[in-house]
Amino acid sequence: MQNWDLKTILAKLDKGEISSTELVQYYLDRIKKTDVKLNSFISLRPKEEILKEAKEADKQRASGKVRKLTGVPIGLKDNFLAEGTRTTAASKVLDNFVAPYDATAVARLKNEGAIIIGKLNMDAWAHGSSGENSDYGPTRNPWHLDYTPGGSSSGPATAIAADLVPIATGTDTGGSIRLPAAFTGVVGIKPTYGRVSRYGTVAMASSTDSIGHFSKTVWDNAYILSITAGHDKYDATTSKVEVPPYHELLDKLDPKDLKVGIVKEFFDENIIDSVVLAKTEQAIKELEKKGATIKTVSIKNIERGLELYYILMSAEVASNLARYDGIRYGNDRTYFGQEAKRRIMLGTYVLSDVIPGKGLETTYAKVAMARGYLQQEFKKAFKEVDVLLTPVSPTLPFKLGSKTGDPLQMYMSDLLTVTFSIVGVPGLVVPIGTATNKENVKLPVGIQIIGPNFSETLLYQVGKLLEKPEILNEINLT
Amino acid sequence: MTAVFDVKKLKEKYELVLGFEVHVELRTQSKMFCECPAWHFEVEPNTNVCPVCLGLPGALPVPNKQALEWTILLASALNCKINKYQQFDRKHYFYPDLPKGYQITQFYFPAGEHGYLEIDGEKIRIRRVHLEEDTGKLIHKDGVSMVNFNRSGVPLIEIVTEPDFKTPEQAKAFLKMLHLIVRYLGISDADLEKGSMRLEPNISVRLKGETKLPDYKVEVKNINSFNFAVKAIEYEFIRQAKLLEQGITPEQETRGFDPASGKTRAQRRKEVATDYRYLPDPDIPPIKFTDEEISKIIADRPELPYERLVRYLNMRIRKDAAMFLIFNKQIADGFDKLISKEKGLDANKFAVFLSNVPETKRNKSVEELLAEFKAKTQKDTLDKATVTKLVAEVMAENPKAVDDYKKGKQNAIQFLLGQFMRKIRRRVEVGPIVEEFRKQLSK
Repeated sequence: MQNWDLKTILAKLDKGEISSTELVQYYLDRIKKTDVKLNSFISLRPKEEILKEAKEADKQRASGKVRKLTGVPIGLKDNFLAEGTRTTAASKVLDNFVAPYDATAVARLKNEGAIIIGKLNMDAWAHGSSGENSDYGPTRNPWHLDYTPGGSSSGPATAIAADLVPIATGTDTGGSIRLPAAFTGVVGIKPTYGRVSRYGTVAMASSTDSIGHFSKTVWDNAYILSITAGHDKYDATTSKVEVPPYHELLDKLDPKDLKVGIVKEFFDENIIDSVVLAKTEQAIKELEKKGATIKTVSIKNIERGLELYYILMSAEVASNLARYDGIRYGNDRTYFGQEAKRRIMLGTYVLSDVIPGKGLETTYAKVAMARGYLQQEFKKAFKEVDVLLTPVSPTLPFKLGSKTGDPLQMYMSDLLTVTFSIVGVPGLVVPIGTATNKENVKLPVGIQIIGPNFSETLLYQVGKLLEKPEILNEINLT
Repeated sequence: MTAVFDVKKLKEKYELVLGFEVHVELRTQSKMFCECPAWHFEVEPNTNVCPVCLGLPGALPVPNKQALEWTILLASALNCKINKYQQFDRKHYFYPDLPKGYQITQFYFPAGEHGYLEIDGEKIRIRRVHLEEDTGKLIHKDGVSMVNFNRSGVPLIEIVTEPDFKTPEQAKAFLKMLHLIVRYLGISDADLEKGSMRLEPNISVRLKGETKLPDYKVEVKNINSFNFAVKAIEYEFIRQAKLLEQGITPEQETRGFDPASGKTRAQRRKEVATDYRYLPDPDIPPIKFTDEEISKIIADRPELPYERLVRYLNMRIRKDAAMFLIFNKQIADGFDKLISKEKGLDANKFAVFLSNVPETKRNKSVEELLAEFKAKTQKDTLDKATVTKLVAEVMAENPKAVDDYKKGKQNAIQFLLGQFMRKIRRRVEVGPIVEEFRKQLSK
């Protein structure tokens, strides 16, 4: 395993130490060898096409025409449309659907010369926290094959940790980037809602869907976000706030100027496993040693986020899945899996209390109001501190199959991520080390850094202080 | 067994409760939420389409600013209160011509509310004016059903009235005026044949004197002319009154009008608001207008037909001629131009003249018509010498009439005048000639 991060790859390509052709060949070989076990890809693009693009990239490099990602292989979560690629969102409903256009994020990456290797596994429609809702089989955690890599972006996180691609895209609606990033020991960002265009990604819950990225390091992640972020005329919810060169600003923070908030409600032994808690507290201590001020803050009603999320999300899911009628493309609705059906029923129920003339009395409207209230609470908190630090998941990665029979238990995995999703603020997860569970299996631990809207620069700076990317070398995939 | 009803008695016993839903397709450049051309007539099927209006995975709607402004324009023309805060909502139902499984519409915060339109001195209240997207079109041919999505996502304004109409004729006058307003604003072709304007009466029937609204209503679709609207309403009134007479409450449903038979037929049961599961569309941020923005949109509004009518009536133009003019905008535009140019032109007489121009001559320019009007109405004045000479001649040729006049037969002068006219064969001012006759006859 060469385990090169993107920064290393770009340097090697620049210096001519490696060609793009060699690079893609390495990843294709590695996928062939290991992905039988991991199941992180749903579809790979034809090898000839990939090699042709790599050759073209090498030619461009030789002639001095270098873009930000010329010849760099990337993987896309299978809910990203990329022209000509099969795009299933891991559901048999879209088993035969070939995307006729590029998602904006994909177009921006291609525009900088990235080469798409294939489409990565996920919970069908991004519904899930373990990857087990995929109609194409679960993805296995490269740290231990009996364990879940987390979901819904199970494939992208696994592919980064197992060195199958250096960069992958993901979507995060309630934690779908952050949870698998923590469970596999990689870096994952859920940017501010509206920071990256959603156009061309299969919608889950439109009001919280966020497009983000997986990488081995903070620098890599910052570099990619500086490419995909920004206003898009095809997504009315994207922001016109300027996009800074995140990766160039990583060292511009003096830890002594940093005020870190510890969310009291999320450091509760009754909620969080002691190993996770201990690891998180250790990371915070290290940050304090570097000069940061640590302060405990309380956010009123933060624990209500989970219930608000499941009402809001299911309503939007039911609506967004209405278009899959099998008339224009794909298979009919009998092909929906159990989890999608469960959410469609829940959402349909939530939306069935519309009374004409009583606009603000529906369940959905009440939840929207509560959401506004929570946003105010967060604004208050960010007057006191610059960022919040929390664990990502209440537990270490759990065993495949251990929660599939109890959806409520599965939903609880999202407890520490969903609230930030409905508030819309950005969240970055970085690996902070490993821990051993009761069965003596070594597994990674991540930490979640939350900031106000459009504070991605700050999140990356703090992430840089906390990250331990070297833990990926401890993965032993035989 | 069919009961026999006396239609006259039904009309005495029951009254009509009638409101309208009118859809107007806008002729914006692009569709409501994407960049596809909005024009969809005589276009190869499924060529004006893109991921957005086909409802492909990942596609997102971005609202058309022009359509939003035109909706405000129409709402203001219908005297509505304009909502500064507008929002798009999803209305869910499954149908093959609805690619997303929901239609994007303005349910909670429509562009305009609480308006009215005055028809012959009576106010018809407008409940709401809102913007939405059109659906695709189903085509059933050779045993196959096909969908054409060229129309999918074309901007559509819906105008909903209160059930204020007393007669089908009043509804027809309202619809014609509404049609005219839309045409004056230039926001739609409003072609009933093509379906770019669609009329859907909501009809129910109650006992005369009853003030409560009936607890059902029947919506009638497929009406492509004002006269068919009248027919459909008349048919429904009798059909529903007959049911009520038998103690049956008519079904709440959507019916289709068949122009050939003049009858309506049940299509589907009408859904209620709850069934549509309205959801504020999370893909489209709420739209907020400032007072200044709204004022600016309305300030650019052209003169409306009812405003023009008032102006004409104030110019003392006869009402029928004024109505003719407002319904023939091109002629009225020419009329306005000439009236301001030609001093001394009798506006009322010219308007009446124009309203009497036969259909076959309507293609003439208003300038040409003015020339005809002048030729017909303006009279030559003969010079005094000619009058004197001709009067003398006429008198010499008609000694008997001269004699009669002198004996006291006053109306003999009319005969002489007639003879004078026959001689010149032109329209001339009569006054000076009569005076000359009197003068010479009294000699």
